[in-house]
Amino acid sequence: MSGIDVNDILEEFETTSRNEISKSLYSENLYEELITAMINERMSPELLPYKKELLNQVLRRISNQQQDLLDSHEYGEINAESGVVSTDFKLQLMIIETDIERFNYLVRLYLRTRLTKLDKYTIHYINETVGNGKILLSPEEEEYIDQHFKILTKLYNNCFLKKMPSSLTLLDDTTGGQSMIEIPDTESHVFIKSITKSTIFVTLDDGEELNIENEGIYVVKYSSIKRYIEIGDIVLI
Amino acid sequence: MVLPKQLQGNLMPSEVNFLGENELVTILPRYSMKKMQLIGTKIPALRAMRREQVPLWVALILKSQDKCSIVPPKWLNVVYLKDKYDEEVRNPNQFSSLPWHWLEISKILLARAADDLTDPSHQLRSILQDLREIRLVKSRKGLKELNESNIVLNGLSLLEINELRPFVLTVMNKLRQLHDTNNEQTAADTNGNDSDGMADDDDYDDEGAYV
Amino acid sequence: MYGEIANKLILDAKRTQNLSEIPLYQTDLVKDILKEIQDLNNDSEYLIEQQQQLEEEPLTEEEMKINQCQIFVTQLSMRRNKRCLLAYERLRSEKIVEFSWLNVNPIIDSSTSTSSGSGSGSGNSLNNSKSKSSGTDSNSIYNNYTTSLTIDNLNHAEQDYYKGYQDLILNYKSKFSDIDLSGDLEPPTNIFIDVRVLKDAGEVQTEYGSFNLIKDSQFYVRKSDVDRLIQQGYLEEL
Repeated sequence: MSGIDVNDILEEFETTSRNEISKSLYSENLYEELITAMINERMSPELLPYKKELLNQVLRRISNQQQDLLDSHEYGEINAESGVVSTDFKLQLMIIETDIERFNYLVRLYLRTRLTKLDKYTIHYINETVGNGKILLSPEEEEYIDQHFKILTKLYNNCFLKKMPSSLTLLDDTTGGQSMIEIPDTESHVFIKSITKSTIFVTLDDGEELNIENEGIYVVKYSSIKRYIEIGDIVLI
Repeated sequence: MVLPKQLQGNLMPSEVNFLGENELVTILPRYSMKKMQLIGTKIPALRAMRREQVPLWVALILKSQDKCSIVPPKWLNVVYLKDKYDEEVRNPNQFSSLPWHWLEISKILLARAADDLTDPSHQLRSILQDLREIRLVKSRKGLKELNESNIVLNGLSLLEINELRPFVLTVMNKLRQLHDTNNEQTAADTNGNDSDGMADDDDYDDEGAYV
Repeated sequence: MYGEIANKLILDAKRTQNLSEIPLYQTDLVKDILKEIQDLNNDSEYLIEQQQQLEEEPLTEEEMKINQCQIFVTQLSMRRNKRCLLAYERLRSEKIVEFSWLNVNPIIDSSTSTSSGSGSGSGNSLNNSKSKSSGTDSNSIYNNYTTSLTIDNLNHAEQDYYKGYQDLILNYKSKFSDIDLSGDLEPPTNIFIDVRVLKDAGEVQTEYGSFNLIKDSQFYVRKSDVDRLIQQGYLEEL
C-alpha cells in the first residue's frame, strides 16, 4: 500500500515547477507583476490593456498547483486512515494552499476591477474597441461588454425609452448640449511611484516641468504619466 | 457594481496588510523542509538553524506551527527607530526613509512573533506610535500647500499614503475643477468680446449644463 | 412645475444608493414622468408649427425670439426628464449587478421573509466578512453593498435583466474555472487559524486529517473547514 511516498509527491511538485520555469521568462516576478497589474488597474481612472501573457501564465500555474494539491489531498486521506500523514507534509500543503488562495484573490480583484470599468463606461469602451487595433480587452471581456450592453439596452428600452417621443429614444444621446455617455476622467489625480533608475521629466499643464526621481512618490494628473505606466517605469499606488 | 465602491480607486487597510505579507523576512528554521516552488516564488530548502529568507506569510505559517523563529528586520528595534524619530525631528520638511511596509510588518510581528523581537513589545509600540504621529503631523502640514497640479510625498509608506488618499484626491480634484472653470470663464469672456452676435448662443450653452 | 416628478425619482435613487437592498420600483412616478415628456413633446410640436405659420405671416423679431426660447426650454425639460429616468434605472441595474456577484439566492416571496438573506449555505463570502470585521463595520468592504434582493420589487424588465446578467456572469466565470470570482473580496490573510474548542463536538474530518473536538483543546485548522462550527459556537478563533 505504501507505493506512494511523501517524497515522491513533493518531488513531483518540484519537477512540474521546474519545467514551468524553463518555459517562462518571468516566473520569478510573477507575484510582483500581478500585484502591480492589479493595483495599476485599481488606481487608474481608465481601463488599461489586458495583461494577457501574465494572466495566462498565472492561470496556468494556479491550475497546475491546484491539481497537484487535489492529488496530494487524496493521498493524504488514504494515509490519514493509517495515521502516517506527517506534519511536514501537512505544513507544506498549507503553504501551497495559502499560496493558491493569495493568487486567486489577486486575479479575482484584477478581473472584477476591469469589469467594473467596463460597466461604468460601457458605451465608451464599445466605441473604443471597434476597429481599434490596440488590444484593450480580453476576448472574455469583449463578450461580456457586448452581452451586457445588449441586456442593458433592452432594460432601458422596456422600462421607458420605447415609450418616449422618437427624438429621445436613443440611449447614447449626445445631442442637446450634453452627452449622456460617461467617459473615464483621465485628468484626475493619481498616486504614483517611480521604479526606474533614471529620472523622468514630465511637463505639467502650466508648462512647468516635474522631475520624477527613482522611488519618488507623487500625486499627479493621470494623463501626464499615462505612457510611463504602460512602459512600466511608473506604478500607481 | 462588480466591485464594491470602497474598493474602487482605493485600498482597504486589510489589503495594504496583505501586500505587506509578501515582503521577505529572515527566519531561523527549527526543522528541515524540502525546497518548494510556489506559484510566484520559490521557498528555499530549510535546515534547522540555518537562516533563510521567505515571504512573511510563509514565515507566519511556520511560526504558528513552532517550526521557526523570525529574525526581526534590522529596523525593528528601539535604537534604530529612535534614530529615525530624531531624524524626523531634525528635518521638519522631509520624511525619514522607512520600509514601504514598516507599519504593517511591525504590527504583524508584534502580534504574532513578539517573542522573537529583541526589545520589549511595549517599548517598540510606543516608539512606533511616536514615529507614526510625527510623520502624520508632517504630512498634514505638507498638505496645506496642496495645489491643483502635483505634490511630492517621498519617504511615506504605503499605509500612510493610503490614509491620505481620500483627502488629497478630493481636494486636488476640487482645485482642478475650480482651476478649469476659471479658465473656461476667461475663455468664454474673451469669446464673448470677439463676436457679439454669438453671445446669445453662449448663454444657451451655459444653461445646457445645469443638470 | 415641470421636472418636479423627476426630482422625486432622483431623491428615491439617492436614498437607494446606501441601501443594502433594492426598493420597490416606482411604477407610478416613471409613468407620470413619461406622461410629462409626452406633454412637453406636444407643446414643442405645437410651438414649431406655430413658428412655421409665422413664416407666412412674419412676426416681430421679439415674438420670434420668445417662441424660440420656449421651444428650447421644452426640449431641455424633456431631456432632463430622460436623464433622470436613465440615472434612476442605471442605479437599480448597478445594484442588481452587485447582488448577482454575491452568489446568494434572491428572496422570491416578499411577504414571508425579512431581509435576512435566504440560501444560508451559499452566502459564505458575506458571512465571513461580517464576522471578520465585527465592530469596525465602517471599514467593511460590504458596507452599502447590495446584499439582498426581493424579486417582487423589480419590474418585469428588471427581472429579465437580472436573469440575463446571471447568465452573463455564469458564462464569464466558466472561462476561469480555477478562480472563484465570486469569492471573498477581503484579502485571504488567515486561511489557517488557531481555534479553541468551546463545547465537545466529537470528531470532525477535514482534508488535513481528523480532529477530536474536546473542550478546551486547540487546533490549527483551515478556516473554511470550521467556519460553520465557529458560527454554531463550538469553536472560537484565537
